[in-house]
Order: sequence, then structure tokens, then C-alpha cells
Amino acid sequence: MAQLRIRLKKVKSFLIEKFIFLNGIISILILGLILAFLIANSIRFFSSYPFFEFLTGQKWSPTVLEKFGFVPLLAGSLLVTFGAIVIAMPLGIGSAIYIGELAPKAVREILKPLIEVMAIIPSVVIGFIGIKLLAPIIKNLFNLSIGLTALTGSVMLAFMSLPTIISISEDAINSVPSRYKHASIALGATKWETTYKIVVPSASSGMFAAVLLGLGRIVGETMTVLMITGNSPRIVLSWLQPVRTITATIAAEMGETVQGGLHYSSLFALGLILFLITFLINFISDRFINRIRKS
Amino acid sequence: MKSVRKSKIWALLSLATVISFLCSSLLLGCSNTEGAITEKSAVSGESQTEEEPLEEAGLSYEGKELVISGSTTLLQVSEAWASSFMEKFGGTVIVNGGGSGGGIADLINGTNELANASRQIKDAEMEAAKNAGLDIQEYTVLYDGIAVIVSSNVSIENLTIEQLSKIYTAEITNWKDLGGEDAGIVIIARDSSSGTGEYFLEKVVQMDKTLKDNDYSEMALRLQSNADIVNQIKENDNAIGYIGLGYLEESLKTIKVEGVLPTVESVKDESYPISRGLYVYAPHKELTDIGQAYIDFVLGNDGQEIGLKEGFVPVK
Repeated sequence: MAQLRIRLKKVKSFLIEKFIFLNGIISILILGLILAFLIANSIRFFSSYPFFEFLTGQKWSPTVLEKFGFVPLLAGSLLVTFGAIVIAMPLGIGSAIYIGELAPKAVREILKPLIEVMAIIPSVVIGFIGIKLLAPIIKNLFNLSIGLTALTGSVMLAFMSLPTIISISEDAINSVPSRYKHASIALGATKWETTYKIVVPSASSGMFAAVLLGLGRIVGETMTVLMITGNSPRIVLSWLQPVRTITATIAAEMGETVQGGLHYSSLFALGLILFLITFLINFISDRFINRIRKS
Repeated sequence: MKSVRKSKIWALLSLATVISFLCSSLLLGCSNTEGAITEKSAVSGESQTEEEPLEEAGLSYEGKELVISGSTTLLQVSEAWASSFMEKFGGTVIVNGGGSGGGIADLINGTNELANASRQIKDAEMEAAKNAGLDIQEYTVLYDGIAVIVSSNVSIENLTIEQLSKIYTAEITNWKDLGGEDAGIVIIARDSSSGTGEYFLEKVVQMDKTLKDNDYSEMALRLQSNADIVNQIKENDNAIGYIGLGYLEESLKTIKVEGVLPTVESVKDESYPISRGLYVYAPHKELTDIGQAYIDFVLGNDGQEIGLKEGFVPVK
């Protein structure tokens, strides 16, 4: 009897193990298929459109001139992303330090779940807030003719990436061994000196990873930028002008293209580049997170 | 630290499980909802037979299904058509969006029976259909006038097509060049792949395709929907945009094009220059009787009446 039960238990654990293994494999398989799909469609594009012209082209006019210039879209994405990270980095790391080190326990207990709630606001809602609240403010503040600008996108995306940056930075701060802090205080340093000179430097690589993960979130975000950056495909170097990002281009143009046509596959090429960018960012940040774990 | 990592792996794995369950339930769910719709229309079909107006005509498509997809411009009116059709004739009509291109691709791939389109089928698509052995028939189901609107502070009342073309290619960038105040023009357009945007491009920006290299200026803001354009025109000064006739509101300042205001009448008698057809594409030979009945219904008096109510212009 007992033997049977043991055997049953073994069978059960074997089945569960295989089931979980299968699930893990499936997600990897899906990822592989997505990549293959992107590459296959992109190859079709690059076989009929010169790669160099795509990479250096300064005009995105897919339906009229059939020119697929990547530069305006890349410029748009870079501008919005850079702006967002400049806003989000100090805010995010600042609040992580406050929550992790300085805040009284009661405040921390309120702030932490609040920040996690921020992460679940759907991007379409953020876009809506951007159009209705932020765009008029930016328009009046800078005396512009229209409020749909790169800056509007940057501010809202910074807001979206804050939960990621704050919670991972805070993890990094919490994982600084308390003996460092005790040693510092024992040597007569104040709480602020300890935070500033001991905790932050020790947690810096985790914070860097947090910022990179936030960056990945910003680069890939679509709905919000589609709604609030104006989508003019031109090369600008000002945050107070409308821009068009890579993601918004794909989302806006996919619906009405001739499937299988050049325009259609050009959007896949954009998708592939976007995938590579976010993959690279996530890969680097993962390396940093692993480094903390090992230490 | 190790336990944290382990719990993360667990979280990931459970996520993967949940997703795979979701996928399968989604697949099952689809067939379920279809069943539900069939039931519903069967009920309404019964209520119709009680009144017995259709028994005489011998028109009932109970148990038959029609799948339509395509243009988002036509989505709302198609849903109105579908529900009215189901009430009258029974059967199940499923309407999906997906854009004109998506609808035509579905037609070629055989996943729908009718494709809604806010633009005419392109040569490349026609070729693909031929290769798939399809002979595609075009039905013009409604007309849509495209109204040019400006911010309330703009004093201009009338513009010609040529002036509009110059505005949208950024050849004219200040309202004072058109007789208005000294202020820069904010150009608002639909995205390059919107059917409305494409029509406006060919008809106005390219002056009826005579200036084929004209594209929207890079300065133009590209918005996603008629409603977005209405919002931005209302909230900003010195802006110009265009929308479908159905989205026109009293509070918006509408520009006369070549001296004519866009109305149902002026689109119908073709005196308003910027109007276009809206189309339904169907396979010529493979069209089922429910598909044919739907098209007849749409082109009939009741269908056209619904179109008018939704803000479009009847074809008759």
C-alpha cells in the first residue's frame, strides 16, 4: 500500500514536472516563432528595397513616393525616449532612495502599493490623460500652436516607466547588506551620509539595470505615443515639435496596407529593428541584475 | 537571493500556463459566442414568423452565417445593417473591423465573405485575388463627403482645392496668404494609411492625381480618427483638418470648398467636390444567398435609410 502511494507520488511529480517543462518550452518556442516571422517578412522587404537607403533615408512616405526612410522615425523614437528617461531617472531613483532608506515605515507601506498601482494603468488611459490634460498645459506653457509634441510623449512615458524604475531600484537598495550601513553609522556618519556615500554606490548597478528596464518599457510603448506625439514623420531636434516614433508608425499604418506588399513588409522591418533594440536593452539590464545577485 | 530567483521562475512558468489556458479558452470562447449569436437571431427569426411578413416573401436565412470585415469607417453603419438584417431575415451576420486592407486580405484568404472598404481595391490586391481564383465584384454602398474644418478663430470662409493642396503640402504656411490673420497654419491630417486620408490625398493634395508626387507635408500632424481631429480643431487655434460628413457638428466651423458647403444634398448632386464612394467587395461566383440578400438589403431603401441616419449619403 505504502509502496503504491510512493509510486503514485512519483508519477504525479513526474507529470507535473513535464507539464511545467512543456509550458516553459512553449513560451520559448513562441518567442522563436515571432522572431522567425519578423525576419522572414523583413527579408522580403530588404530583398526589394535597398538596406542602405532604408537606414539613411530621410523621408517616410510609404504610399505616395514609396520612400521608406528610417531616420525620421528613429529620430522621433530617440527624442521621445531620451526625454522620458531624463525625466524618469532622477524622479525614479529619488523616490526609490526615499522609500528604501528615508521614509518612515507608515509612509513606505502606503507608497509601495500606490506605485505598483501606477504600473497597471492601461496605456490608452495614459494617452487619454496626455491629450486632455497635459497637451493643453504644454501648449500654453511654451506658447505653441499645438500641444501634441515629443515633450508631451516624454512626460507621459516617464510616468509610465516610473513604477519599473522605482521598484527595481528599491530592490537594489534593500539588498545592500545592513552591515555596511551599521559600519558607516558606527564610524559617526549621519543617516544621509550613509545613504549618499554607502547605500547608493553599492546599489548603483541595480539602479542602472532599473533605468535600462524602464528604457525598454519606453522604447516599446505604442498606444500612448500614437495618441499624443502628433505623428509627423519629420526630423526635428526640438522637444516642442510633433514627432513620429517607430512603434506609432507600425500601429497606425498596419490596418490599411496591402497585405504582402512592400509597405506591409516594411512595417515588419521596423518591427524587427524595434525587437532588436528592446532585446538588447533587456539583455544588458539582465546582466546587471545577475551581477547583483551573484555578489 | 536564490529563493527570490526561484520564485521569479515560478511566476514566469505560471504566467506561461495561464497564457496557454487563456489561448485555448479564447478559441473555445469564439465558437461559443458564435453559437450564442445564432441562438439570438434564431429567437428573433421566430418572432418574425409570428408576424408572418416574411413567410410570404419566403426570405429566411436562419442557421446561415455571413462574415464581414474591413474598413473602420464602415464599421458602425455595417453593424446597424447587420442587426437590422438579422431582425428581418434571421441568420447570423458577424461584422469585424481590421481596416480596408485587412478586409480585402481576408476576402482573398477566404476568411470572410464580404469586405468593407473605404477606398477602391488596389491593383496589387486585384492581382492577388485573381491568383487565388477569385473574381471580385465591387458594390458602391454609400457616399461620404469629406468636410474641411478649421479652428473657430480662423476667419476664412471659402477655399479652393488648389489652396487646400498648397496648405497641405506646406506651400502656404500662413493664414494671411489666404486673406486671414497673420498666424501660422497648423495642418492636421489622417494617417497615410487611413482610407479617408488616402482619398483626401489623391483628390485634394494631388489635385485629382494630377500632381502625383505631392504628399502631405512633413509638418502635418497625423491623427488616428475623425474624433481626434474634431478634438484638436476645437482645442487649438489656427488649425485646419478634415473629417467624414457623419462627424460634422454644429459647433465646428466648416469651410466652403469651391464655394460649396458639404451637406447630404450637395454630396448627392455632386456639387461638393470632395466626396467619395464606400464599397463592399464580394466574390462574384462564390457569393452565397445570404451574402446576396445582405447586399440587396444594404442597397435597398431600408439599408440606405440606415446609412443616412449614420451620417452618410445614400447612393440613390
